[in-house]
Amino acid sequence: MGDVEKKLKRVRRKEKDGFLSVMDACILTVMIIVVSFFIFQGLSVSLSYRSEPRRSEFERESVMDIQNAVIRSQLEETGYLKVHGPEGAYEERVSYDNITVDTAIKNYLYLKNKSDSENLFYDLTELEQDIKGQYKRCAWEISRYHFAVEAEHGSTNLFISDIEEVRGKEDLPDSRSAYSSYSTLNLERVLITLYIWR
Amino acid sequence: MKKRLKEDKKGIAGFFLDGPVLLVVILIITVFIAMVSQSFLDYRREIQRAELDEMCLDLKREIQEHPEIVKEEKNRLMTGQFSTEKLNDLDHETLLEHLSFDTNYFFSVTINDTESEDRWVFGNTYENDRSYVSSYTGPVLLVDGTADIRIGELGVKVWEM
Repeated sequence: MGDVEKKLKRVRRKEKDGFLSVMDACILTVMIIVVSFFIFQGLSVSLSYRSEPRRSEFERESVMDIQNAVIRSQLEETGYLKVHGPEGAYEERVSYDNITVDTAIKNYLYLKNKSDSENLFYDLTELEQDIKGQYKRCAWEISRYHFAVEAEHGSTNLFISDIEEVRGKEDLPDSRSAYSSYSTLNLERVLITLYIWR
Repeated sequence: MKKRLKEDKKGIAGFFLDGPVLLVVILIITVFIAMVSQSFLDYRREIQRAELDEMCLDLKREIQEHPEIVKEEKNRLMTGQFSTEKLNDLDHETLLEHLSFDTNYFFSVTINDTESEDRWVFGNTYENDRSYVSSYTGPVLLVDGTADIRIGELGVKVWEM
């Protein structure tokens, strides 16, 4: 009994005079981890809040500059095929020199709308490829991005992308930047939109 | 003497128990302080980067509307269309006259003609050893006297002194 009391006294003295016990150290560690977690979480959230809008602003500015530059840039030589007859009996190539991309897009939309006739068909592949090529040239800096262009005039539209699988607006990813410019065709508004995404 | 040491369990156990615990606590606190300091430095760096990025975009916008660079048509400045004739005559001082750029920072403006070897460089010489440089590159149109329009590349870099 005397031994037990002595041991208890020793323990109490140790608790009173000694440093932290292993349990205390564990509790302190857990507390520090919890506090650190909340501090670092808060800091990382605030950092991401600060950097994300800046990245978006750079991206938005890029889309705007690319669209403005491409629309006003010139295609040295382009054209299309005018196909006559129900089975393409006679073909005629129409060419343009030094036309702006804006004009090329409007021509594409106008001719596509007229292509419905059975006796007259327009093969606009060359025009489409040249417009696409011009967008590719202007978007060199954003090569790690993909792009798509959509032009609408009434029920007629033009949709081009650097990715084969993207064939319409519904195929575009949600996280994309876009910029639209306007033009007029037959006194109606033509909306030309450039989409860019990673 | 041997016997007394053997009986004095408190003294031996206390020394070996307190020492490692103290070390662990010191280590944890040191690591914690280091991590907090690192986070604070990251935060400060991020704020500086934000300032540089903002300055870079502002400078780019000013360059795109600079009266000594941009093409004029019927007394109207054509934003984003650079006159090659004006670029040939432009020097650093004239460029600075129309810029509201903070002189505590450095900048460089590069315009490349993608269809020829022509290149115009203004501003300070950029050194690669800078820790952070805010840069923007985008397309511009280059127009010469013959009304021929070519695609050019505008590059703007901003960094601290």
